[in-house]
Amino acid sequence: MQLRGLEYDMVLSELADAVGEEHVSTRASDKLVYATDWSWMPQMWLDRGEEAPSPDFIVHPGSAEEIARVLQIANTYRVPVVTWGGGSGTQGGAIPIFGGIVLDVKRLDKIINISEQSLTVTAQAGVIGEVLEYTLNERGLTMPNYAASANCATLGGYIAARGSGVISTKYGKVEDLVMSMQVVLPDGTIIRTPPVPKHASGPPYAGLFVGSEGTFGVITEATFQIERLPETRLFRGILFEDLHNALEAGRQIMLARLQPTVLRLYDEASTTSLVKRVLNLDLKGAFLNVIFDGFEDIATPQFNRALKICADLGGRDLGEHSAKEWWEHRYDFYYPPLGLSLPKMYGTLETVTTFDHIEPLYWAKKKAIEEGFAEWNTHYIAHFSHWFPWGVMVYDRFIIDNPPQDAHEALKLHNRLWNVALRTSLAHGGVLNEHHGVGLKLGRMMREQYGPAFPLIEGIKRVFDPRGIMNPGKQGFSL
Amino acid sequence: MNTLPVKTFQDYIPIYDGDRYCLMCRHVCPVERVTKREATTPHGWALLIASVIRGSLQWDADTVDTLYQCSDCASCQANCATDRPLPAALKAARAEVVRLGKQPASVNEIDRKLREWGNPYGSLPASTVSQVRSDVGLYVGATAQFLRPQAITAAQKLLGATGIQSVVLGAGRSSGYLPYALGLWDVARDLARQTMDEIVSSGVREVITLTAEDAHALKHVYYELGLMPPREVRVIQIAEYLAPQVAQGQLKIRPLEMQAATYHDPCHALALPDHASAARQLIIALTGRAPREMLWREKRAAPCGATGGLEFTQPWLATAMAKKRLDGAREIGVGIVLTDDPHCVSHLAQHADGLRVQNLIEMLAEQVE
Repeated sequence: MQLRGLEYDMVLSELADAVGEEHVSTRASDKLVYATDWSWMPQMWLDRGEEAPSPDFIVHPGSAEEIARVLQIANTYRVPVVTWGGGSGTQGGAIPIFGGIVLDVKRLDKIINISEQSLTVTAQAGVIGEVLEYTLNERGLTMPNYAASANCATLGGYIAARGSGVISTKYGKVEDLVMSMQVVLPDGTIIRTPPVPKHASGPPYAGLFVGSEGTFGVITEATFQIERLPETRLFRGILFEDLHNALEAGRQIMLARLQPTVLRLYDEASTTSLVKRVLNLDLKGAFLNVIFDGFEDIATPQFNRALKICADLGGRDLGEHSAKEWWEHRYDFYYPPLGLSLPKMYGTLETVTTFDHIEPLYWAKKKAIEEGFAEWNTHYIAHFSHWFPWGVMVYDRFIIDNPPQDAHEALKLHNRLWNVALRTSLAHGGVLNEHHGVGLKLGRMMREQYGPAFPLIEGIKRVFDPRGIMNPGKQGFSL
Repeated sequence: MNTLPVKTFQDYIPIYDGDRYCLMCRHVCPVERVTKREATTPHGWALLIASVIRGSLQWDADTVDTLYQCSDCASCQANCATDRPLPAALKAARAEVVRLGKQPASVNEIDRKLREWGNPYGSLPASTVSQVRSDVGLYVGATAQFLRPQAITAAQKLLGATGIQSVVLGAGRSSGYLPYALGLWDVARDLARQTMDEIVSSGVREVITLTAEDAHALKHVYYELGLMPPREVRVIQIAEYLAPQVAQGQLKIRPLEMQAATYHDPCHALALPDHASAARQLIIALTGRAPREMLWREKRAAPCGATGGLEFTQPWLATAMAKKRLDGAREIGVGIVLTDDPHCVSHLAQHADGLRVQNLIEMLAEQVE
């Protein structure tokens, strides 16, 4: 839905009036860069010279009030609005597939308040995660959402994608850290959610915005729980002969209600590929990083108990070097040329399930991908990195080194593979996704996951956004 | 004169392609912090160039303007886990734009001035030719000569206090860095050759520069231009030179009582690994305490807008970056911004608005025993 003629000029002039002419762009150089986020589909699309999904306008509002005016304009003309934070999503959630307005929130970049008394921080949605972290670190504080995308993702994006970070096992996902939000609703109403997240003042309505990917409103400000930087961090690399015992070690650690900061378990295929390539560790088996942090006299006994569990299950103690190396280089996996990139086809299929389902799920997906797509010599690798008291997330990926060159054929194969992977996850007690979100990529499967509940979800969406302007085509919601 | 192979636009295609979808250095890009434009981030520039190569964009007023908004601070590479040479690749793209004749009018104007004067400011004063012979040269360059001449006197005084009478080199002439950054590589090579010829004919064994940019040019950039600087000549920026002299007691500084100050890491100091520490040692020697630090410092230092020729090609951005830098000082409650680069002093001072911007080298010279 590209706007034309009088309607285009009317919208453009009203947007300029709302946010200032200098904060509205129709430049080709801007349109191009907003045509892709960090997901494979639009990157491939651009790479192969196909016409990119392109916004009509890029708008940089400076306040919630300006966002409200933009949404009112969008409602008047029924123009799609895609909220853009850092563009680091991997699910195509920020791709303006129907054109319209890209609402870049990065001008909302103020850190409003840091409370050392309550250990909270309030900041605007456009603050880059790592910039907040630098700021907190100056005071000996940290926001324990160590997302791999922290260098580029915004705080609003953390919430909108319901993201997570490498120390979530101890400190929780972003939904555990966010306390309250300011949100601009699609009709321009500005609301604040209750000031604390734990209460009995009705259901957790605020939770609707967490993971909503800009379909219910625009998050403009949030308060998060933060922590003091830990007194100590304890590191140990453990090598298991196979994945089974390694998973069992993780399960026992979690069921013992120990509080590991990191349990990062690489399957055999990842250990011999990723771990070797990035960390230069030549290991065979399933490599588990164990990290505990906090006060030394509290963390150390827990750490030792976890190591004993690993030893009892046959884990070989590699000392602290390998685990420290991983910690120091934990984000290096995503830098070129170490990260996955075109011309390969790849995707992170990750999901989460309970301990009793995780191993069957892993093997079923590995079989479905490697055998089901054997003609493409498809690799399947995985690590297990976000552990819960009841289960674990598997960060599994597929890689095809030589996919079809034709963009349309490549997309067809990509979607077919994803369908198989997602249905295998659902059939084995998993969900569509654990922390990357749904976006464009998985939207078509929302109906399958939620079944008869999905029309109800669509009904909720219609209440918030009756004209369907907010990020249409994502999360299974129509235009 | 020996020459080396030069990496061209074509050679950097794997860098444009590899970096176009990498967002991992966005947080340290000082331009993005001002513009908030996705297109003016490291990945935005890489994607723009890669898209021109693929034919989905063309070099036109929009894309060329966007390309010339990079401040050339090299913070992206300094904070890259895999040391991607995107800054050099962007300059190669500008050189390609110049080769195609698509550069902005402001770049043509700089080109003309550099060819006529050897700098972007004006004709060279006749009195700057040095008659002294010494093993040590003080490389003055263009910015100190025209924008902050007192920095030259201060440096000479400090070097004199360590027993060195220095030869003045490159007075009023660009080292070649500015045209290199703007894609005017022929002019850059001419100026670099003049500088190298002067160094060789002066017979100096050591060149001390007043700016980090010039040290970076002489130590690194000349190679990227295909030139081979004289290997037997050591190049060092003045703060890096003075810090050990102070530590070893060869240069004595009278402590100065002053209100809280912060320190601005000069533009291009990221290219000099010892610089950040050396400058802070000098501040401690001068004031008796470490500077109060801004958030954007040392490895993640933000430039003040005096880099990359922004003053000439994107003056609004150069101003906005200076103001942002000074806001960083206000946020930590200081009234004084110290730096040791005459260009940064001059640029920041234009926008200080109540803050005092002072040249550390000049202050040291005032306090030398």
